[in-house]
Amino acid sequence: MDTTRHMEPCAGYEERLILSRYGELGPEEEKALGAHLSGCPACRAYMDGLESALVELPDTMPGPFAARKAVRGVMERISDSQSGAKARPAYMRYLAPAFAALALIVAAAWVGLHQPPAVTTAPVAAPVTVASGGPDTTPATAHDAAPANVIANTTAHQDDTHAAAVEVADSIEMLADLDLMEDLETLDRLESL
Amino acid sequence: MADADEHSLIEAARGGDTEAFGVLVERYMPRAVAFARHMTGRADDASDLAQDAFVKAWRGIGSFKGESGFYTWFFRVLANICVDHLRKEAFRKKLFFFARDRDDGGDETADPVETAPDEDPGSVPDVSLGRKELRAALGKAVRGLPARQRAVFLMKHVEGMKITEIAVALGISEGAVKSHLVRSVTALRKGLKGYAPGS
Repeated sequence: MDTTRHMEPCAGYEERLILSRYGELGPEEEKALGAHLSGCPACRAYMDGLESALVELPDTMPGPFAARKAVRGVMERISDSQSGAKARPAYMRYLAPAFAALALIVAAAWVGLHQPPAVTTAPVAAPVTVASGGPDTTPATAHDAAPANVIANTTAHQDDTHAAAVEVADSIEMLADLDLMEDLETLDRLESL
Repeated sequence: MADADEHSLIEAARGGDTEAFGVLVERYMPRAVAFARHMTGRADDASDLAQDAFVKAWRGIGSFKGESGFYTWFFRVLANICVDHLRKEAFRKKLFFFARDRDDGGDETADPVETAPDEDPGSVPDVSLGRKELRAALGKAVRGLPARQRAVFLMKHVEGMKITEIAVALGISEGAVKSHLVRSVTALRKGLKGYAPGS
């Protein structure tokens, strides 16, 4: 069973020897090959080597349980196809996650575009006091202070917006002086600045 | 019905009789799984591929004209499914070259060549071990063959199909089958060159 004996066969005989090994030569070819083999040690050694090397492959037959399971799987799939339950195409399993991911990206992009500047407790947030113009003036509340916060936070990020913020704050003071602070709608509009 | 002859089972299956087709499935499932396992080297893939082939065969049973045996016809479906699977696997391996190869240990314990029983448990241990090693080496060498050569070799060596049947099953010429067979045997012989049982 030594397969290390690898004498090369005569030129043009390898195919015939292999086909002969598998019984695929015609009677005439087989006869001619037999005559050649009887006088050719190299081809005989090659043939012996083939016989030694080409043993049975390991048994890969499934066990009875695995085979039954596989048969059942086939019959269930056939039954499903007959009952009209169409098999889901393979790409369908990726459709829902892909759609969810797309929705998340779109939502994130929308939020990113519509979100106001991030509100942080900026160290440079100088308190902007709204001038109380006497007893008729609305007292300063947290609501009133909101524009000041926004302005202060903005200045923390960009110097050039600082001037604009101060300008808005001045406007608020001016409006307060004009006793227009009672108009909450006006205040809201100012906040939105 | 389990004892019914193949021709009547096929005729019944062609008429939509799933029970008759089920008998054919039961009859050939073990061979189909064994072939697919030799082709892929993996038991889980083999069962899935064999099932896919039978379902495809059921859908196409109407086109089976009975010119060849059912198994030869079915083998065309099975072999092509296996070859396609191997191509996809090869592509997957190229695409995910950084991932751990499933064949490199993923199913090592279930490898048929590793778990193959001794040919003859009552024989002399050295001889038996040598034969087992040779079978394992041959099995490994077969898995190293290109898909088409592997299919031809297995059909011939394991299934014992004639070259004409293999040609029909794979949809290639007899000359191409002979060429694949000779190339596969030559490659296997080279692959086993350094093998010396008991050494």
